Amino acid sequence: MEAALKERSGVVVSMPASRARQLFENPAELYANYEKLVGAGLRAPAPFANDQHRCAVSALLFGSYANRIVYGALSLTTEGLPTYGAAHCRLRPVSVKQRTSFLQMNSFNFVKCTEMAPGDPIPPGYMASWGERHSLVLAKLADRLSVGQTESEWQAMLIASDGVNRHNDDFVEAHVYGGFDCNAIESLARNQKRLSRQEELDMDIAMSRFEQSLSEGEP
Amino acid sequence: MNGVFSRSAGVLVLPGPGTHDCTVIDLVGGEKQDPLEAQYLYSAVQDWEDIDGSDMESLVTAGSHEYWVARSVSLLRLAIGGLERSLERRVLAHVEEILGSRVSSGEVINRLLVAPLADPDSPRAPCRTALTYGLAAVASVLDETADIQPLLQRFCDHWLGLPGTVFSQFTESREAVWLTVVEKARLAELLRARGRSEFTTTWNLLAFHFPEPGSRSGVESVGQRLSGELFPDEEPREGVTDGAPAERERAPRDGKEPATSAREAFEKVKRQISAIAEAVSRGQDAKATKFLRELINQQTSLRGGEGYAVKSLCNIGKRCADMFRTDFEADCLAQAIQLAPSDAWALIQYGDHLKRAGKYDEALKVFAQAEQLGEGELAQCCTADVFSQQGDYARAIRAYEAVPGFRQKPEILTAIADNLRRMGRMHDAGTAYAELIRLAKQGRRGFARSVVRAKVGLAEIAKREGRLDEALGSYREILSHEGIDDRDRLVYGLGLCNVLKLKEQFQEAYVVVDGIIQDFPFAMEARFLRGSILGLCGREDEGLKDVFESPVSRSWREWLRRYYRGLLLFKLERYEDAKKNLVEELPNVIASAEEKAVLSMAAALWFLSRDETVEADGLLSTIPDLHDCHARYLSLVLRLHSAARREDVALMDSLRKQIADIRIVDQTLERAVTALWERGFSIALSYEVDALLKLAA
Repeated sequence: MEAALKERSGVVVSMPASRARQLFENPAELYANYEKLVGAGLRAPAPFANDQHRCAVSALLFGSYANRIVYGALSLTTEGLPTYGAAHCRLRPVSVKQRTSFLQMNSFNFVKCTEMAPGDPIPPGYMASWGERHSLVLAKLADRLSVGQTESEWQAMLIASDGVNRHNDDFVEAHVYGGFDCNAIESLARNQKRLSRQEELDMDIAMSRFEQSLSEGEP
Repeated sequence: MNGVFSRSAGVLVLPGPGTHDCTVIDLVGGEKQDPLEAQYLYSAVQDWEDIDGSDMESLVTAGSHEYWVARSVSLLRLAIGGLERSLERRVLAHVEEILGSRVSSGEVINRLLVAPLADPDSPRAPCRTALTYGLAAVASVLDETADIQPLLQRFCDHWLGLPGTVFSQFTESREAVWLTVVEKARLAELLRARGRSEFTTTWNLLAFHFPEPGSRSGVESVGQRLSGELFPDEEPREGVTDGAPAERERAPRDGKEPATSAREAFEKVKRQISAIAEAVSRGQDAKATKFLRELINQQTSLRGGEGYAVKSLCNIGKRCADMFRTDFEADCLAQAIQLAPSDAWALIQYGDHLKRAGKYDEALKVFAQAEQLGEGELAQCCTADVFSQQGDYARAIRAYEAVPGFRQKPEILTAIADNLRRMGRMHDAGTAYAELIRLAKQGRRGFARSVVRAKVGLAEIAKREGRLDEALGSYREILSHEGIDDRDRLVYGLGLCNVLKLKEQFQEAYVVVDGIIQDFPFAMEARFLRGSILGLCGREDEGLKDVFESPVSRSWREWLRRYYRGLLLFKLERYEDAKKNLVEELPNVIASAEEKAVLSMAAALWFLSRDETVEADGLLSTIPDLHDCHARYLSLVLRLHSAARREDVALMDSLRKQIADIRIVDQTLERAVTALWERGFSIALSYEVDALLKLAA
């Protein structure tokens, strides 16, 4: 498993179909003088102001840059967490490995389990950088590993989800600093969840644009 | 009450009853969500915005509305950028659904105008797809987005050219102000403003969207600055007196001649003039202004260069006139007059501009000034031209005849014959043209060059009297001459096209006009004509590209754009858009009485299509006796149409007899009459609209 993790594991960010579609809508390409007129990042980042708990958890782990973190899951395949959306974007290692850390579990549960308080350091052994991600996974799953297991069985252990309730998700959480655009996406997959007509359209657009960008050799 | 929402994800987060509670509402489904379930990754962090409202219901309504607008815009951007066919159809159908039930087209168009499109025609392809599938609302949005691009480009050019100090009163950044303009200022309406007052009225409403007093003052000052730049022709001299930037950039005059040869300098100026004209034609006014300033600085830095600069300015002004960009033309001419206040030719060109803009009194004053500067004869003729354009042909003829020795001046005799023709005195006009040809054959000095011009006059008489073969033969013969200068060739080529249109030889008409456009890319009248021919060939969508909307003030012959545009939109069954061009524009046009009669017929047709016969009859009753037999024929058919809708059989019989007395052959109108007799109104409308497209020239 160590070799598989080192060679083939990556960050998969799951998102709703509409968000995936928007990743491929690039107004700057469509319009002339777009940046000059509109500027960049004009709308002030407004966090989930009322989601106090979420903010507290993020702030405990990341401090002032909590709102710059994009959450994903470590995965051996193109699949991510189905509870976060129908679209799974696996990110190119080259675009994220310098700015990603991993936490042994969902940060929300982690803070709850470890009873962390503001100012507490993160207990050692639960976080890893890109280069040490395999060690983090092996430490987490050591007692469940046995000889003869297949890669798909490892994947099932790495990302466990009933597809319905996020409370039941078990995974290694990836924290990517800063955002990413469509050029950072290595693969785009969809889960089998039944989608509304609108979501179906968004997903099809995202898939089509992604395939188009691959055939054009851009990302 | 306030909350945060994501317009792209359609999620609203509201503060809950407790400090740590919140309510998350899915704006798409209108349902509450578990806050934990609704955590992160709904959308990009930049996408979250504050939203205010009196209660939860109003927040949900406002948030939901924003979501649907944003979704429509996002999907249309994808369609404009290019999608595979099957997906494109689904996307457009989905947007059509949204436009039908949730948001207005206007809001979507405004948001699409966030910046000029890199390819202004890119919405045309999805527009065609939309029309293919009968998605009229989305087609209209795309079409309008494409049409408005030159106006947007021009506006953005001015916006980006505004100095940063203009925005110093705002508490918001310049970009944030722009976004507010896009989202709140009814941008499309603003771009189409027909003058300073209309612009300012719409613009000032923007102040309500800025809470800070400083920002509100900023709105006002930016508005004043923009309106001044966008509508310089309302105060044509303003740009001349405020020459500070030009002065700053002016090179020091050291009296040294440049190292380049005269030929090289001439070629360079030609290229510069072409670049300026190109920029004006694309609506890139800031760029054109910059190039113009460079050219004038460069020319005036030479000893005695003012004369060249004035010629350059007048040359550019002429090209702008061809493009119906009277605003830029006014600016050029005002600069020319400032450089050389006693240049009678520049004054005359300026007076001509005022005449075309319908400012007759001002034009007459300018011509009077030119007369005092020594160009008496020319100024007198120009004065007569003003009377002619006002429709006072008798006074125009008297003014021409007041020019000393006019009988020895073939240009004046031709102008008199032209006015006789316009008055409807065809026989007298024909005699006058024939006399010009006879004098030329006798070898009268200076008359040889008027032969072609007289033949054109005779061809026009033949056309108006329905002798189309004769008119066609004349034009072909005229254009076969090699000695005709380019400018005349353009005019006569358009004349030939108009005859070909009436003869329903559309393919040849297209080839001829297309050739003209290749030779004279800035001749907008040729493009209008091509638009009408494309419409007659059933290629209305393509035709619309030639008769795009323009922000500039009305001017002489410019009505053709709106007229043809309205008819093409009518053929595409976009009746509301057609109404704007055919009915609402009618009071504003600058046109002769006969042209106004044609426009009234088009407006009457619109009302007939709505079965509003009272309005149609009102318009038709204003039409005077027409000298053009084709126009007369069509006016009778439209009256017959109205009578048929009212089942006024007696009037129908009377009109049918009058129509039978018309001797010209017009199969389109004959079919219209047959259809009306059988109460086939929609068929009749299709023939009538084609007849109108054929008619105007």
